[in-house]
Amino acid sequence: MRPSEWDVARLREHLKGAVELELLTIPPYLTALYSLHPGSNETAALVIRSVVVEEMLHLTLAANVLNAVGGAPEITNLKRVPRYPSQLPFHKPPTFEVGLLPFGDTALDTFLAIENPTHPNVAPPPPGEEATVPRVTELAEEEGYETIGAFYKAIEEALRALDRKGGLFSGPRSRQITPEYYYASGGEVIVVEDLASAMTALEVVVEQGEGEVDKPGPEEKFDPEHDLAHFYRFKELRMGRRYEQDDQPDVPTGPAIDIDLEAVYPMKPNLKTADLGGELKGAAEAFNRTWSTLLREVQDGIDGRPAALGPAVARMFRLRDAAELLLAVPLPDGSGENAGPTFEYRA
Amino acid sequence: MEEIFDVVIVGAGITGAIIAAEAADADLSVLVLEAGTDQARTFAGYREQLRTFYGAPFKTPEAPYAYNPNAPEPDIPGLPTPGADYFVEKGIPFGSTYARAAGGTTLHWLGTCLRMLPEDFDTRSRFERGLDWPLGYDDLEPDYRRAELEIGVSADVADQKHLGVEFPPGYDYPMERIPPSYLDEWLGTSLNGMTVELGGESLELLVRNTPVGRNSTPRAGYKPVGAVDHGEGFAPPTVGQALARDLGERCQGNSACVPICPVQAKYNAMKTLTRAADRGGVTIVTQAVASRVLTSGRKVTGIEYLRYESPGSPQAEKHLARGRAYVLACHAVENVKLMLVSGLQAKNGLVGAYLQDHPVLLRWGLAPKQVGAYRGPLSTAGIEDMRGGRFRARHAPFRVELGNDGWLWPTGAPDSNVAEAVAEGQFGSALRATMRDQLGRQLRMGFLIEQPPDVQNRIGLASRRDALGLPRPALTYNLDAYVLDGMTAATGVAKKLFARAGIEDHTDPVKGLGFKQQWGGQTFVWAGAGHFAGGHCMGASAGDSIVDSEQRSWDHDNLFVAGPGSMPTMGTANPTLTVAALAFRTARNLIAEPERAR
Amino acid sequence: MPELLSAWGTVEARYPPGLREKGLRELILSEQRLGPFARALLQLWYTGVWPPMSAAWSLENGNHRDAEEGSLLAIGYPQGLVWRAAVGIHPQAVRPTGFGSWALAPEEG
Repeated sequence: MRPSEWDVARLREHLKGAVELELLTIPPYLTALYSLHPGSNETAALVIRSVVVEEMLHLTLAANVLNAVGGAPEITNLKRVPRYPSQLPFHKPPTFEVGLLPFGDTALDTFLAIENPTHPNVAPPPPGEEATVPRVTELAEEEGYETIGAFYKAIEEALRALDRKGGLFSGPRSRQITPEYYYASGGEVIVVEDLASAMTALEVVVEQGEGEVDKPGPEEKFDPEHDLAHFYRFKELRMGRRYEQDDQPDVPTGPAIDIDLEAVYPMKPNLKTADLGGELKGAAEAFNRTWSTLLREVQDGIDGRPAALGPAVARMFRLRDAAELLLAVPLPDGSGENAGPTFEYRA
Repeated sequence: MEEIFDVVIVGAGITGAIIAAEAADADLSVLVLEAGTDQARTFAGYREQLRTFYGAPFKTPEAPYAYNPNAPEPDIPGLPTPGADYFVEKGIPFGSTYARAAGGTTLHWLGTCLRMLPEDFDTRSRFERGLDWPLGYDDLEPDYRRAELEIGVSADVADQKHLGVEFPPGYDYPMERIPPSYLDEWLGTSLNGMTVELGGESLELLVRNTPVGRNSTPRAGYKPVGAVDHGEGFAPPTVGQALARDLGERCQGNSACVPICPVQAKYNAMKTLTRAADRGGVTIVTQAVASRVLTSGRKVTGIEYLRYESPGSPQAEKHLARGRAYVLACHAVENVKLMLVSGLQAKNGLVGAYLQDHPVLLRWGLAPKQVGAYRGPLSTAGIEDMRGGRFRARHAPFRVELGNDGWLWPTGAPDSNVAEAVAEGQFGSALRATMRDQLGRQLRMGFLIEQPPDVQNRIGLASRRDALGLPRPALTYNLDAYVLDGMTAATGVAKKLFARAGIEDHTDPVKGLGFKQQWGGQTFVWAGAGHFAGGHCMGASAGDSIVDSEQRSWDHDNLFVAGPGSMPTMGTANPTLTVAALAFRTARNLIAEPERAR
Repeated sequence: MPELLSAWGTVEARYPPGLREKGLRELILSEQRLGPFARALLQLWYTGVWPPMSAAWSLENGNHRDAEEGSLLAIGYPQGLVWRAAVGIHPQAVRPTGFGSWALAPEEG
């Protein structure tokens, strides 16, 4: 079914998926960030942190759109809460695994796959012609979407179509997260109350992640605020080199980035609490309790009680402390691998 | 250098940065000479300072900043650090320090942004103490607002109207107040509404949120300024995401305002300096120590400076900077040093006179329950009610700064607590339990006592020299009876506050790290506040001061001498906000009239 | 250090698990050479700083201050055990607790 034929329920289901998608990316990014020895690899840490805070913004924006069309996010719903390794929701198979990995090439390759800006089902425009909006919206949703950008394009098309019928933006304003609740990122929360604000919100999400895909060439790397899009920030780390202003998107040619893979805790990938015993098990459960409380606070916040996001801020800092206590400890199995955060939700 | 700039500014601290930015906005060409380095220009350089701090055995305000023999800065007297004897001192030690680097002392200030009280501007007329300013609160009020915008002050006007401090209708600070600490709220429940008597006057107390230059929740239309990360020659970052920028948009509670906010959520003057540089028309030369002001009659004709390649080597080349107007803005002590070295000695003999600080009486104790010490900004509230009143005719007034930092300042806790417990034979779970019980209950109050200007307290030149051959400052400094009687009164108040809140007093001159002062049978533990005033005080006439109310030199038509040194008194407000307001006032007058024949 | 470890070995051998604290006091902390060293080690663990030893001890056993103290302290300072004694407290400029966290009651914070 084409997105222009969706009903509101189907749109809401997709927007719930969008909220989940944004949430799903955060633990893998955080795991890589926490795995850097404190004080080491500062550029990598700043890059990942900058992406994480924007993913939190994206989660908030997706939730605002969902709330604006009368939906309700359900991130702590046991059927929907993230479990790792995982796959991107609504993603077209065959797909890649999204797991909890220490910082390194494998993790970065996953991040690049998540933020992938290419739309392989769209032919490049003929020479001399302007790029058109990718025609991914013709995809049947049952097949899934090859990129996050394609997924959001479908949502945008459905929003436009349903808005023409009227009465779409009926959600109460009180359920919107307003700018005072969100900060420390290169973007501002957008209150969604009509089609225009919904479109702006979703454009921020896509362009911060993938860049301006409609402007092929050096400009493609940047979002409208002229920050590098997530994909290209990760690409810099993967290539160990910064972009210059006029670099083509595929090859950065700027100064080298110092990356010290020795200064990374060798965390066992996709660790589970069940793999651990003794004090480590306790530490992992303590981490999971903090993570679960955080998720409940975020759920409350985007479900009509924005003040709950206040304590969530302090919780995020405690989450980092709890992860550090796991990551610094070698597993007793002699594998040479360390423990790490497991991000298992406990209801 | 052949170029003649519209304005030559010596010093890239808050005063120099504001004047540079304002002059650039008015399309003037500006040269800024900075004696120290610009390590804080890049975020990587800034973080290097953080690592220096981690490794410093004495975590003083100077700890993160590598000692630079070519532009030495003072450290706390008595420490085994290279800066500790930078001042050649007569009298008692002067416990305050300043930074010599781009960004200036705001690199390690606490961030407090109190306005001076209206009555602080004419204490001579009102109380027969100190000196009157040549301007009043109402004259400075618009510039206070401008300074609050520049610094990005977090506070609620509703909290700040007291003792005559007024705001225009509709005004509020750029950001909402920093959330009060749990400790502030707890103290408020027992202290709010209690009264104390000072000089026969009954004063009602209130624990009040402190306005600060730390990023909080912005009010409509204000965008918090995060960390600085600029390129060579202060070029703005050109490619992609300025990663550091977003980092300091809110205070994270690093509890390290002094000596270094790791994310620059606290204002430092690099934010203004980079704003000036981004505007264009501003040349910033660092590692350039002004060594002499050249004059011809009533005009300054140039500033000679020594440009060195590396702090590690005294090799330097002499240059001349030329401009139409000149601003000395390198902090009270260095301004005076430069004037004296250059022979700019006023006929009234007052260059260097009236050095002031806020001697801080330290009192510390244990709260009856866990109050959450060692969290949050170092201080988020104070008791301001004893800053003003008729009693000021009899003894010094004071403000009370409430510390969220346990006994860190007065005793070097928690290391001192660990040492004590280990010496008692504790280890393992018992040691952990002792720490768990004690640390979160620790509470410190600092009583910042006003010190009126005393012509005997002064800055001069020592015969000892620094690596570049420039004289070190010689300070003569003492506390007089007015200050010490203020400390006596503050001690009495401290005891009442502790008793009222059920705080067990642990103030102890033996365990206290500060200076000790005997007076009236008591021994005070006190420290410097890092607040300087005087040295080139402003006044109503050339006979009794060095500069006028625009910080314009009485003796030279195209010279401004700006910064805390111009302040005839500070009252009990820390000087930075007032210094910033004065800088805006000076910039406006300089732009309108770069030179004034008298 | 090897002497200290071997003394601990003796404590483990001679005292049953419940009485090891007693053993630690008797064989290590009250011992003339090992006691001050063990106490200094405790301070190092808790604060990252190796405290100055008494003049008498240093005369007898040599000076144990490390020449690279600064760089060791840079690593040790953020990890001091004293900051793990209670929830919410943290060393200056390390492990911040987040905007507004200081307003919460310390048990939660």
